[in-house]
Amino acid sequence: MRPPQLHSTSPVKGNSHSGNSYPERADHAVHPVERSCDDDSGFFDDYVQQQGATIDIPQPSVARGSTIFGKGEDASKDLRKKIDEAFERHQPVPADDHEKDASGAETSKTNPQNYALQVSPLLGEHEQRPDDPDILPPSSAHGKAGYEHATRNDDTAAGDSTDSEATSVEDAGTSSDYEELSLPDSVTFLKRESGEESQVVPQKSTASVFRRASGQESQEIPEYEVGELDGCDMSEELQPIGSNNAGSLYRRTAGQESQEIPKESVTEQYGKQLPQEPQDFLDSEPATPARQGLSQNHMLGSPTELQGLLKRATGEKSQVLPLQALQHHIQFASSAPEQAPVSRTPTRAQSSTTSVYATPKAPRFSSSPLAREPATQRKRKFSEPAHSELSAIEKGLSRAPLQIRLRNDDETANEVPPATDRTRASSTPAATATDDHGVESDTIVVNMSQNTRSSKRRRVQDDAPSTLPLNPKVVFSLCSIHKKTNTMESFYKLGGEVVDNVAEADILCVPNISAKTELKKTPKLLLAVILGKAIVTERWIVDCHRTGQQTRKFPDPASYIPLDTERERSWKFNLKAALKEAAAQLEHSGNCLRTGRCMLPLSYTRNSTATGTASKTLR
Amino acid sequence: MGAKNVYMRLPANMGMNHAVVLGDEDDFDAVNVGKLGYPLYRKDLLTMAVLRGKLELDSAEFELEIPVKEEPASPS
Repeated sequence: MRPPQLHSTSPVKGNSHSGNSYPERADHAVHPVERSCDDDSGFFDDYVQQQGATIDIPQPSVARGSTIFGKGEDASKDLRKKIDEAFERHQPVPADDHEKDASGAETSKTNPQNYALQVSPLLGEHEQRPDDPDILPPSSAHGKAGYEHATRNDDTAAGDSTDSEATSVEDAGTSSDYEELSLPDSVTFLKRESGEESQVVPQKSTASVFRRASGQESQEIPEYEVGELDGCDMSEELQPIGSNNAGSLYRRTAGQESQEIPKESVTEQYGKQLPQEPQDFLDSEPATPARQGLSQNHMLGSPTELQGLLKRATGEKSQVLPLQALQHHIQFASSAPEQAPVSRTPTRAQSSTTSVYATPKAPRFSSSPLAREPATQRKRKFSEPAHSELSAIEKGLSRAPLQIRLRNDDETANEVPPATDRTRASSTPAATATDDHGVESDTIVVNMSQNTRSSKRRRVQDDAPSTLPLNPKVVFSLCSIHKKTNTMESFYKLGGEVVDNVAEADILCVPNISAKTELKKTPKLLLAVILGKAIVTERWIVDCHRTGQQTRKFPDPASYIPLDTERERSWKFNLKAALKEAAAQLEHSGNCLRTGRCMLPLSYTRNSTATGTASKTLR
Repeated sequence: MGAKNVYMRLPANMGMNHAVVLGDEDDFDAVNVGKLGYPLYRKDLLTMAVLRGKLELDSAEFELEIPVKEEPASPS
């Protein structure tokens, strides 16, 4: 039995054997670090979340892709020790803990930072299933056959590489110190082959049990409650973080705050794909992992929901993001150059994936609201390192500390992106809302109905009669509605008055026309027609009570003209036309009074609009 | 409409031009109106003129027939 070797091209040489074969070891002697990586990651997450601190883990000195084997018990203890030290100091762990062998080359056989290295990347770029001959068997449950199978294939694959076996193997004499750990079945591995380098990384990090190699200490890490807290479907398969997520991590050199943003991430975020963002949003077809995370959010499931709010539940607190923020991001992204300045590069926008993301000295708030971490992807434990990190490793900047920061709910509460002026202007002030858990949370309510309200108001203003005075005087004929104080209260609040003389009134109110109630030729009605007064039914008063409180306007009397078709047919007239004609005649009379002479001849012909017939000449 | 005065009784003489006499069926003064030579109209003439916007004096719709009182023949 030989330990697996997966195309390691690490230049690090130490405790390695030359040649294409690994030393024989006893069964259960060697456990791959990948398994520890998986479990360690979960351990990291929960442990650091409990502590609520930031862990600075130095970047390992080994090249990516190296398969690392560590002593089980020693590695666990060492890992525990390093974590404790990191929490106590809250400072980056010095990266000079790498062991050196006799030749002076650095090795990482028992360095816990190597575990952190396994958090690295490239998920989704090249995925291999356990049945892939080049893949490591996901767990010991698959038996030795798979283990050997992977080893044999790895030997054949790395036959021409002498460095591949350099960093991964312990001495055969220490084989008794190793103990094989059982890997959960859900753990799969991803492999990425990028020319010379290859690396096996776990696809999923759903392992919930972390067991010490020694067997003395065991700790059970409960599964993340992200799905429950976020109200997401936990049955949803975890998706590997794509290579576009490279912006989640970026390199930070030791002692410096320089940031190197991978070009891919910048281009992906601000580049040519950005104009397609709105369409992606509407179509719910995310093109990038960030979009995917947003689309997976239940607030962006449909265009209808796009008008709503982006809700983010974080267990204790829930936050609602305004839609304008997303729109602002889209506008910003569309207006941004292809390569945005480094200072404005929201690395978290791409890292929007995990509870573990590397943002050393990262801006607290991203300029883009999309930097918010999608809830569904928060349960991912592994984030893909930036290309800059990889390049840093390749360039030998192995000691650049890689800060892994865990976010907690408190931080989440503070990580509400500050709304831009534009967003503030278009949204109502932040209000305090209560989520389903009964916890108050900050809420930015977007006034999406602002346009609708304005249009409605504009329509009301357009429909408002221009001839209707502010304080109309109403005379009632055969009506009893004016005796109803509740109904007339709104009428009076709007400024209406009730008079008895038709000549003084502006509006004549008659009973509603129904089968039992017909239009009657009352003197008030006739006089109102002659004088060109508006004639309405009682419904107009009722609508003043209903809609007048909202619109602060009287309804249009023209819409409440009594319509009695039978009477109009028998009487051969049209009340609406008669009113128009009377109004026109009154206008003519007014002009005659102003001018002092009649504008019409003594005998004139009046075209009856009611009957359509010709006229009668007055003598 | 151009009306100037409204009288509640029949004119005493025939000097009034353009007089519109409104009455009702079975009116007692219908014969006298006939004697004076005025046409008799229904009272709906005015209301319909208001509603229709025109005064229809030539329409038979509002004109009433004036009964002609037949005097009994003298015994001689």
